[in-house]
Amino acid sequence: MSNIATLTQAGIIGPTAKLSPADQQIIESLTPTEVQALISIRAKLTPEFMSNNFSGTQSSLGIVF
Amino acid sequence: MNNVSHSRRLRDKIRIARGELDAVANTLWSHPRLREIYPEFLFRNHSVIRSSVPLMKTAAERCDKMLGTDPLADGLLAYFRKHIPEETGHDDWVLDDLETLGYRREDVLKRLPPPSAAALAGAQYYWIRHVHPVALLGFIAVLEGTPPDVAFFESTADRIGVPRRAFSNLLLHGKLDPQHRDDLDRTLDSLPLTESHHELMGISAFQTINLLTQVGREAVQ
Repeated sequence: MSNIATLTQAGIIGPTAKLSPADQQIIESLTPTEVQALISIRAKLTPEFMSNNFSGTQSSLGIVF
Repeated sequence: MNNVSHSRRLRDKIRIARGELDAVANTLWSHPRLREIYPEFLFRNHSVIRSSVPLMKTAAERCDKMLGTDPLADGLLAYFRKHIPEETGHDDWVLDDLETLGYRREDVLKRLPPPSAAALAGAQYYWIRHVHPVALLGFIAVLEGTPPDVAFFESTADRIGVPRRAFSNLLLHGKLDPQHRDDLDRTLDSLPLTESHHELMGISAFQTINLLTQVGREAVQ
């Protein structure tokens, strides 16, 4: 099963998500352990959440290093 | 992905995973009661930022012990030795901001930090001590990856009616972090990273995003 299929089945990627080819490539390059980590933390990789499509006014939380 | 630089690989992973964190950031900074929430945000910010230098010192100590046996130890140690003095005292900037808003330092320091902040730093101690100190670069890449926008935060201070000096931590980091982000990218690209190192940094970054999102969400609640 592809990473995208695994993450979609786990609800990490929304069923109607339209991922760009670049994002698909990044997701498919993740190792099984990284994929499991994303599932474990219940990440959301839906396009409306992904920052390259995010239209918010300020994407820095301001908690800095 | 083999022709992509080390820094780009890490940045790409962070970009695909940080959407919820960005959404929480937007909720925070556009919140109608931001003036009321801001001190609580600063407290939580301090709870995280106070761990920056101690974490790097822990990683540097581990690297020092690995010299001669680990191919990353030398490069990582040089990075941490340069970055520790650059980050020293930044937790005081947050306390300064709180003091400007009328909160006494000693009272802030007496408060128990939130478990989410402890988990955020605590995870890094685990990775550094029990796996490999390169994990900390995933943490740093998330926290320094989106430098605060100086103009935005100056106007935010004006909008909510607090002195700009109560935003000193964000304004100073807005000026410093672009350089620090570039320094980290240069370090990443200079290290002989393996697939295993990339995996560890990726997991560290994903976990950092998750816990940082939690810290931010708690400040908004």
